[in-house]
Amino acid sequence: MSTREAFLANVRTAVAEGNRAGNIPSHPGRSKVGYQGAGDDPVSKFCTEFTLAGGFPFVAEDDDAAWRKIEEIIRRHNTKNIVIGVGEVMDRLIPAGRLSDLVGTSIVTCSDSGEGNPNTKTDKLINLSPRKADKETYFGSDLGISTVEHLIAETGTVVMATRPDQPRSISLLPPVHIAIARRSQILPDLFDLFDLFSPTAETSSPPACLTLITGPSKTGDIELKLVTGVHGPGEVHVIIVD
Amino acid sequence: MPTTEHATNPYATHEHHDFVPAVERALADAPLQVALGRLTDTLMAGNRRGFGSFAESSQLRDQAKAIKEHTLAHLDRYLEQLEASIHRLGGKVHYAADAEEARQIIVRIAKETNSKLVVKSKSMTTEEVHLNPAIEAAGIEVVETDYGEFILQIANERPSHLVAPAVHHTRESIAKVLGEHVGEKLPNDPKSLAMVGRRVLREKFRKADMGITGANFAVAETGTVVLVTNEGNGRLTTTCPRVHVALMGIEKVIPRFTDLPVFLKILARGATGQTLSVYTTVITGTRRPGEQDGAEEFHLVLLDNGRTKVLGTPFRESLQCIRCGACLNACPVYRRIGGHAYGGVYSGPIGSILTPLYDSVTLNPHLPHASSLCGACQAACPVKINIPRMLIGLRELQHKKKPSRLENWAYGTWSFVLRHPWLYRAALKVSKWLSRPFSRDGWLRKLPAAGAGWTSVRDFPAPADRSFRDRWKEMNP
Ligand code: SF4
Repeated sequence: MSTREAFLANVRTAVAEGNRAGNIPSHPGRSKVGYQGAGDDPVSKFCTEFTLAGGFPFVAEDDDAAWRKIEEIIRRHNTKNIVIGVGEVMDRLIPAGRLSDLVGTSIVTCSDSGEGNPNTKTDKLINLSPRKADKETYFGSDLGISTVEHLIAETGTVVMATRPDQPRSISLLPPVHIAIARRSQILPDLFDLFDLFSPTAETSSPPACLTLITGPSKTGDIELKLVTGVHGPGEVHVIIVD
Repeated sequence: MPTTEHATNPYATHEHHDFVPAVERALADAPLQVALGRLTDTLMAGNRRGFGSFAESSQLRDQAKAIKEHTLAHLDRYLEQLEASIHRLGGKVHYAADAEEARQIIVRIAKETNSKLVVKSKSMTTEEVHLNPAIEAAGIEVVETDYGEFILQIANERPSHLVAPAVHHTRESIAKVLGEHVGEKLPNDPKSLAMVGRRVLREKFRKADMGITGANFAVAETGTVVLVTNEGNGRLTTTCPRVHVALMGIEKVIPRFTDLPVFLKILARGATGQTLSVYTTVITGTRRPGEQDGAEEFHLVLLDNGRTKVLGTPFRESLQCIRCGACLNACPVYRRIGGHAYGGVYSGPIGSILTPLYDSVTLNPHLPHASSLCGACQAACPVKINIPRMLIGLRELQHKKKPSRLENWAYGTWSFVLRHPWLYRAALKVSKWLSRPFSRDGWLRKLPAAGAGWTSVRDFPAPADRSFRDRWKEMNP
């Protein structure tokens, strides 16, 4: 018998032995138990929970307010190297030339072709050929600006899903992360997210990596004193636009 | 000074030691007592807040338990489904019957992938199989990347808590250990100490070839592996290196993708009171075509190492544990003695069950007794594991294996007395009379002879002036 067969045979015997006591419960199925939702105002629920987790939410009145917030964060950190994600909302908020006006800042798009965001092309763009080169770029970046897959109001969570132009590194390697979300992306409850990505006939598999981010990177390993930014970003902003 | 205290604590480095001296040492370690109080009070307050914050938390915990019960009753089926799902995604599944096999498999993968540097995110299962020395022996560098685990690795110590492995360290001891490692004199403030760790570990992530993680959950239906961390090292470990190896006990599988939120909702709330830990990483297979980062090769190592021994017995319930640490924080014994005194990889109430079962009952004779059976562990546990029941079960096992003449005689006498009311009354009278010279304010503080063992560390209530039986008779004439 191969290791695998012997291993599984052991499990099978033990399962049968354990079930002899007669206690063979069925799967309880999907129920609404524990569904908390977000009440009438998911945006404010998200903001409350995200703030409690140590994040900085900002609800922008309009696109201009959103941009001013982004600019303020970039200037406050004296940012040199920005990696920027791809998406329709990004094009809207960061139109051509805007970022390059911030003197001394180099911008890298994480579009796999280097062309995903037409606006960044006009900036001082470093074209990333996928892999190798970009690893170093991400390690050397000071700030990442990304879109999000969803927000979860119940828990104050930012959800990222991997795609060719949505790498994991953008929300992980820079010390500051700005996530841009649209109101319509807010889900009330954690259950809703897993329902959405549960495999169905059409989508056989969830994305390679779903990342749920609830606040800045934290450690309490030194006398339980909370320190942020030990591995992931120490500062996480969510800017919510219409 | 606390710094040298920790460095010389033999119980921090070795397993299987005498329980009583280890406990005495822990009780006399003033900085440890401060640290344990701080940690367990904070986390227990979080646990109460977390479960108190929503009305149906108790029913949700029941549901999580029901899912685990169901899974364990069909574990063979779900493991095969998990394997098929992972194969479909292009991953490999390996089977390790024991710690030795797990070490061999992982070292072999490291060699075959030509890995020179391995980074690890926190995993108690890799502690259980003592993985690091085996990797090092193969000439491969391995680095723990959870901050606490990293400190323990360079201090050559064992973790002393499930989620706060370096709780026994102070800022001074960390500054010393880390300072020696980087060859600098470091300031004592937590922020700078954390940032030195970041600097050192970033370099490792940049160069690492292989990342090793545990798995908080694995979903049979989709082949998904879930990692929960607060620091983000779990993300780095699975994003930067080419190869990802996850080592997982067979009990960590759950059937469906939609089962995940049931557990995620109670895991962090039970552990720290957070709604979710900072990072929940839900990995399904390797990097897809066109994607820029994430591992290109995925291996799942399934570990038995004693679990099937437990699966067929009334101790099966212990396999429902999701390693949140709540029972440690709730336990009046753990809160005093910390993790190292237990002498196994897993400490606290759940460790007192897992260590004897996975390791050996005879090598850990003290563990089933390291409990007052107060039930605080079960009340705090997100999956409501009946830990006291199993501790009593282990005591029974021990007794069957090695009956004690003295114990048999004592219980024999006790039951004989109970069966003869006149004898019971007489015994009560005698004990009252005998204890009178030693009793003050209703307590016996200092007993002679055999009783001294008890009263040297705690008081014993003196027999009441009037017995319950007498009072009962008065009230119901
Ligand atoms: S037994 Fe329960 S409380 Fe203890 S670590 Fe496991 S899940 Fe948490």
